[in-house]
Amino acid sequence: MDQKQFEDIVEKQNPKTPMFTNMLKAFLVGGIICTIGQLIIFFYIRFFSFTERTAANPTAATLVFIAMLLTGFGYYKKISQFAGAGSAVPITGFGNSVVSAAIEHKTEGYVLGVGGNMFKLAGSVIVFGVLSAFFVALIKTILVKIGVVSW
Amino acid sequence: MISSLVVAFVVGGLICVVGQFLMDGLKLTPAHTMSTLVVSGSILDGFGLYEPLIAFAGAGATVPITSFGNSLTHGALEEAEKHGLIGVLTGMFEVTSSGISAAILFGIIAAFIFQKRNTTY
Amino acid sequence: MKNKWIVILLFLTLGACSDAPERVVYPSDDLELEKILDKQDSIIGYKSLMDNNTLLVSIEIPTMKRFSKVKIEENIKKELENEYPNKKVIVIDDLKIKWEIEKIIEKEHESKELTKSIEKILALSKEET
Repeated sequence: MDQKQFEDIVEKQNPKTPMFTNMLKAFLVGGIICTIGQLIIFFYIRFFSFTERTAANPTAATLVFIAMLLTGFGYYKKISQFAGAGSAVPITGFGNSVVSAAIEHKTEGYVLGVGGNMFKLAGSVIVFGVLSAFFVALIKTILVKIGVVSW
Repeated sequence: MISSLVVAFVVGGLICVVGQFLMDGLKLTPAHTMSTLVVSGSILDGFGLYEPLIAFAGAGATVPITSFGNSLTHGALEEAEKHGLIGVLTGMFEVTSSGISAAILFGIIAAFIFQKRNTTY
Repeated sequence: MKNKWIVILLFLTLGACSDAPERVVYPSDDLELEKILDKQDSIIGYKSLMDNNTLLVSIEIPTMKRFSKVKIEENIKKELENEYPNKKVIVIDDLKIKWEIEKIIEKEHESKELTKSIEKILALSKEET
């Protein structure tokens, strides 16, 4: 097998992704999800006692709920095939990965299957989020203590 | 109000474009991409840049997963400000909880309701 | 593709039902406060409530300046604190606070009720998570 053949095979294995189109799709879908999020924020501010600052929390929960429904009925996969990162980056993507893992492993029982595998895909996000939050906060606290920066 | 919807659309969209670029351009797996975004959100908050972004873009900054790293760091920093170094450990999940608890809860509910499909999700 | 644009248009029209920024001071006999708030060029609107102990101002910062929201709030707060040294001054840019203030102004509360409702709003604004 010479170099050219090898490159052909590699080319076949990694089909060229039309990067610009993918980015545009991600932009549109991700933007739409965030716009829906903003509408939900307005809803919570208007009808419940949430301020702009606190409304983000129930909004995250609501979006995860919507993601659960879409995942359960099988629509989320179609959206993510179209949108790529546009549907994975928003919190709905996090919800989707948790919910899909839960449904996927239902047959193994609720404790071992659902409980054990729920964060199979989303776990890395939590782990590295906590890890980096720890180090960032640690470094900043130390810097504040020795007087380099202020809070 | 209309301007905040437009800003949320643009900023949220741009964060997703960054995610798409990490996937396509740098050939990262989705898990790596998400972790990278979370870490960058956390670092941005360390520099005090993420809260202004939230003030500017609203849901455009709170809905993408980057806000997850931000709120973890923010909780840790807020506690650290009050209680010193030990607060870094205790404060972390103070702000974040809603996204995770909702995901756990709805995940279990979904496992109750929905049947496994032939397609992977 | 067509559906997408319909959805986008729908959101845009839904968002359009908002009103122009207003400048209201309640109770309305305080011209000094109005003067101070009027000369702030970093805000486009404000609504304020005042009772014997507290001065509560909800400001509206134009979208492009919202990055420095905290700074703007603090600057105006400092200026007002100089003017009203024996009052607790709260300056905040928040839709909820603005709407609550609007509600109170509409009801034209008397002094006792006013204090009560201001306290309620303060509790709201203090919540962090």
